[in-house]
Amino acid sequence: MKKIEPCQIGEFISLTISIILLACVGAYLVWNIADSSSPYVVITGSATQERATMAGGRYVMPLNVINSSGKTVNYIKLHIQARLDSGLTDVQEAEVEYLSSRSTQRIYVYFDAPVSGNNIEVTPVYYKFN
Amino acid sequence: MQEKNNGFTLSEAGTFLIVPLFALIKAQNMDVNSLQKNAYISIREEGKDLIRGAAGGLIFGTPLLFTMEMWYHGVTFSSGHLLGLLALVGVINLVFSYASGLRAMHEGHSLVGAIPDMVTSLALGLVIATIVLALIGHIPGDGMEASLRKIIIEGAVISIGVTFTNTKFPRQNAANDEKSGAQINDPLSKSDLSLAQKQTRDDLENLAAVIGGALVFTFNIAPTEEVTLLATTIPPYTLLLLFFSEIVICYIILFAANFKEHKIYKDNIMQHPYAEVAITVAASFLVAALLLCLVSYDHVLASTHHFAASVVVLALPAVVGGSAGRLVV
Repeated sequence: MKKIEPCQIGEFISLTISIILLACVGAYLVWNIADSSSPYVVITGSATQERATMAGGRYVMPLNVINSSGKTVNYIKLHIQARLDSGLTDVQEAEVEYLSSRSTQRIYVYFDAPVSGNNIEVTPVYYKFN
Repeated sequence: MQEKNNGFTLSEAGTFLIVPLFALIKAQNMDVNSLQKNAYISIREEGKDLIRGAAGGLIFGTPLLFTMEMWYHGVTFSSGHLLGLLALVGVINLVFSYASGLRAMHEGHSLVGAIPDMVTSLALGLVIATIVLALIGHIPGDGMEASLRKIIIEGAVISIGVTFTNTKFPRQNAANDEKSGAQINDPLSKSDLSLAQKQTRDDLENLAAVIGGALVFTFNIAPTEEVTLLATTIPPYTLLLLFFSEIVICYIILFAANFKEHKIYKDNIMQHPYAEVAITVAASFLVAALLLCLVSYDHVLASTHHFAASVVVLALPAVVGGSAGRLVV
C-alpha cells in the first residue's frame, strides 16, 4: 500500500481554511453566472438629507444612486430635477462611471438656491451593460 | 528533516481537530507535551512559509495593485470571465507548485500532491489582495460584491507571486549550499579592508540596492493618475494605517521571511533589524517624494496635504521595491 505523504497540522489548518475560502468564492461566481443573464436593471436615486447644505455660497445636496439588481452597469447618466424653495426648477445632469451589483454610490450635486430633499427627483437616462 | 518525521498524516490531523484531546492521546499513545510541541513546531513553520509566500506575492503583485484598470475590470468583468481567470491562474500555480513547491522544505511531490499548495497559494493571494486593497481604501468602497470582485482579480495575480517565491527567493537554510559558494566568491570578505571599512561599503551597497529597487517599482506608478486618486480618497486614519503597514511589510520582506542571510562585518547599532528597516523605509519614502516632484502631475505639489498623502501612497510600492532590491544584492 502506498504510504500517505505526511501532512503537518499547520499545513492542514491553512489548507482547510484555503479550501473553505476558495469554495465560497467559486460558489459566489457560479451563482452569479446563473443570475446575471438579463441586461435589464433598475436604478434609483434619492436625496440623503432633508435640506441642502450651504458650501461656498451654493447649496450641496448628497444623493444616493442605488443599483439593487445583481448586475454591474457602466456609464450611468442621471437627470436630476429639483424644485427650489423659490419656486423655480433647477435641472442638473450627472454621470456615474460604474455601479456595481447591489451597491450604492453617493454623489454631491450643487444647486444655486436652497432646496429640500423631498423636492428632488432623480431619473436614470441610460447605462451601458457589459 | 526532523520536523517532517514528527508530522501527522492527514487523517491524524483531522482526528486531532475532531476528537477530544484525551482520546487522541490514548489512541496514539502520545503524551501531551510531545503532541503540543509537534503542533507548535508545525504551526510555526507553516506561519513562516505563509509569511515568505506573502512577501513573494507582494513583490510580484504590488505594481498591479496600483493599476486603475485592474480595479475596474474586477467590477465590470462577468462572473464567467473571473472564474476562467481563476482557473487559468490555478493551472499556472499548479505547475509552479509542482516544480518548486510553496513551502521552504519542499522536497518534490507528484502533480496531485501539488494541488494543496496551489489551493493555499490562491487563498493566500486573495488574503493579501484584501489587506492591500483595504489599506489603499478600495474596499469596502462601493459595496461587498464590488470589493469581492476586485479581490478576486487582484488576488489571482498575486497568488502567482506566492508560488513563485521558492523559485526566486529560496529560504536561507534551504539555499545554504549556494550561499556558502557565494560567500567564498564574495570579494569584500577576501579584501584587505578593515572590518569597519567593509561594513561601510556593505551598507552603501545595501542603500544603493534600496534606492534602485524603489525606483524600479515606482517609476511607472508615480506619473499615473492612480496616485492622485488614492491620495485624495484615502481617509486620514487609513493613511496612518498604511504608513505603519509599510514599516511592517519592510520588516517582513527583509527579516521575517528569512529570504537572505544578513552579512555583518562589524556589529553596531546600525546593523540591528529595526535600524535597517528604518533606513530602508526612509530611503524608500525619499525616492517616492523625489519621483513625485519630478514626474507626477503638477496638482500633486499644489498642497502640502495632497503631497504628503501621495508620498505615503507611493511609498508602498517603493518600500516593497526597496526591500526586494536588497534581496537581489
